[in-house]
Amino acid sequence: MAIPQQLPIAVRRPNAPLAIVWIVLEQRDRRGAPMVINPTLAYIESQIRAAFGDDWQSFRVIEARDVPTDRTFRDAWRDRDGVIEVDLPAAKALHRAAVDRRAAARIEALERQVVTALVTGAPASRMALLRDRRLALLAARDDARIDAAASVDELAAIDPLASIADD
Amino acid sequence: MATIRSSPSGPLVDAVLAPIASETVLANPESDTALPVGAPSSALLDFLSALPASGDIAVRRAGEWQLEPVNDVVATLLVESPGMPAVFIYSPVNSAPILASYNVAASVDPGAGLRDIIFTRPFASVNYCAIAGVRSATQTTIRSQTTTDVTVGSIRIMSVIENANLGDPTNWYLVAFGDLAPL
Repeated sequence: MAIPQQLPIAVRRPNAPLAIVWIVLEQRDRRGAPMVINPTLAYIESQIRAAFGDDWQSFRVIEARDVPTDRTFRDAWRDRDGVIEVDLPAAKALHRAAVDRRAAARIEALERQVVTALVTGAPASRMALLRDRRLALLAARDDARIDAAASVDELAAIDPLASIADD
Repeated sequence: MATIRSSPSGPLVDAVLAPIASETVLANPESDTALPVGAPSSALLDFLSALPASGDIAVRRAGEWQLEPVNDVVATLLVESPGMPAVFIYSPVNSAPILASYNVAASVDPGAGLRDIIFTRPFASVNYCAIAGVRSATQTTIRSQTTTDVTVGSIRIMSVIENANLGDPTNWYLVAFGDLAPL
């Protein structure tokens, strides 16, 4: 099956990430007969409304190469001055939330280890190690490097949990 | 002469196709384009695939023979063929979003871990069966599910990583079965 021709549209929405709508321009029926779509403004709007109802602000036709391939901070994409780019403050919020989720999962696992250590009468050194790790995980959520990051690349490279050991 | 039924369970299409006139357009008249009663969907699909892209075909409805545009006949058969997918799409998450599709007007990327599929031709009701799938090259704990955002004309599917968080897969898949809305 041939890859269908598509027209990408960037759609701005209130209080939501930038959406990319890929409109299919050429389809084929069961018998391979082509069905060509004329992407009029009315047709484009009808597809956007099918996805979002009236919950959108504006759209513009873009090219496939305009769509970022790095989706690390996908929900921070913004369409500014004809360029789709990552909004750094929004990316920092996403990054912090991701660190929070990972830290919470590790703290939960750590607390199970603490219970095990208590039940089995682990030495004080083991208890101290677990306590220090827990404090480090809690502190990682507020890693100042996230706020200080000056670029998206710099932000992506920050992993506050990387230096905290695990069993 | 052939009788087409789109399901073994009943005469969903009361149509008989036959080369009744020299101008009748059939894809393969020399070997007769016969379909047995209760032919499986795959046979129906083969039959439809072999038909010409335009022209007329002989159809008998309610005992009356007539020539009808082959596109209309096919469209009718598709509406009434629940054994064949009404929608399918295979889409990587990134820059070439749709690699294969049928009955898809648009694929919408509203954010990480979400995909809205807009149908070219809607279903007759929201009671259709949609099966979503995802594949990830990096995540081992990833699954897909449809959401409550289901309408006759679109559906939202999502990709969940580690059982809780929305996250992008490497590929999206959707297949849906059900009655399409009449033309």
